[in-house]
Amino acid sequence: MKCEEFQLRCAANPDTDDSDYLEHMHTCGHCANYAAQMKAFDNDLAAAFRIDVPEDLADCILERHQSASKKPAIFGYPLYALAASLLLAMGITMYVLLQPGMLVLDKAVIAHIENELPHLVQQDNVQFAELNGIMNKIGGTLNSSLGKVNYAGTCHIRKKDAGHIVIPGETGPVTILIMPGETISKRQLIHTDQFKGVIVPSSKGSVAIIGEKNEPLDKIEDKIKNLINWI
Amino acid sequence: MTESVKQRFESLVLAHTADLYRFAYWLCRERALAEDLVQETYIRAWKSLDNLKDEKASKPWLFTILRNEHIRQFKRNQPLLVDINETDLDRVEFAQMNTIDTDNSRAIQLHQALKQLPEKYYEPLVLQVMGGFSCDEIANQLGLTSGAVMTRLSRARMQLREIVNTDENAGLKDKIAV
Repeated sequence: MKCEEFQLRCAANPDTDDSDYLEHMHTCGHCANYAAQMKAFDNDLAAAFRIDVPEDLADCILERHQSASKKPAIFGYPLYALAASLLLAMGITMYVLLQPGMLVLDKAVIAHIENELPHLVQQDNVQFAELNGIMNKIGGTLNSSLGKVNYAGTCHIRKKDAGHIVIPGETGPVTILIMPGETISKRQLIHTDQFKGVIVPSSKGSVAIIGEKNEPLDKIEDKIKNLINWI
Repeated sequence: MTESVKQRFESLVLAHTADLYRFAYWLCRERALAEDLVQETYIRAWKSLDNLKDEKASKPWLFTILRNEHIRQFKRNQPLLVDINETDLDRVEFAQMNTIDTDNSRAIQLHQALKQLPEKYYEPLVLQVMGGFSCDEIANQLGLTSGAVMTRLSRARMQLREIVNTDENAGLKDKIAV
């Protein structure tokens, strides 16, 4: 085997244990060194891929699966009850299907804020024109000032464009995520150990307002609802 | 649902959820989306559990379902905007994902380098290093020949090393300049 072939095979799989490969490695110091380097690189790579998995993910999947697959016994049910159940199931299915992603939007919003924690402490003092520049990028404008803005930028939530704004609240920073691509039919509340928030429908998409646990959000919600205009 | 089918499904979930989640994360790079993908994968797997004749083939079978689901759901919806200051975000993101070793700068460096790898090289590499699949198994999943997979894998590693080395050299130059 030539050194060139050895190195290609090594780069394709540093754990190769073919006899001709190993034989070459034992007779060529240069290639043995190359293989050692590639093996060390692969260990680093494997470590980089090894991200944490949510502890309860398997349990959640099984739980959801079990509750979804619990079916009522058909025999012994009056026909009208069966028909009513079917209609109800169809109604629920349509309700869910017509609201893409509703089940996980709240989770995505919190995950996004947690992923971008540095924005909560930024003090950029964003001016109105700059803020409107950001709004324009996601297809909207603000018709008057939002007050003091510590951070404003564009981002993507669930692969959709969104505006990310942080303003000072009464107890800490308040994040406003303007999500033109995330349509919801009704107001959703969010509660986590760290955050409290609300996602409200907008004429185009929705807006999430998330603050610390004791932050009063009603006034901000009213204000932001009246400020956004969609182009 | 018979008890044995239920048990079969449960053992699949318990055995493969971690690997599926990691694969999903490295495909879409968003934790919430990765969870959705895994959930959807199991829904589809449940519906076609009868097609899985050999339990030994369950891992590649589930990975294929997840990969197809990813293509179906998200690939056509690529983001139009790029995050500002990705380096800082990557650092935070990685630190939150990996509570075991939050100061692993090498892993962060590789995490960023992986983003620069062309997809045709990236996917076989994820399947091999993270999924533990052989070249033949990867070839089956991606509809390629084994030779093509080997070529892509070797190019993937060579390009990654080049990216990392370039970054390291640039970092060294910065340090010298300071």
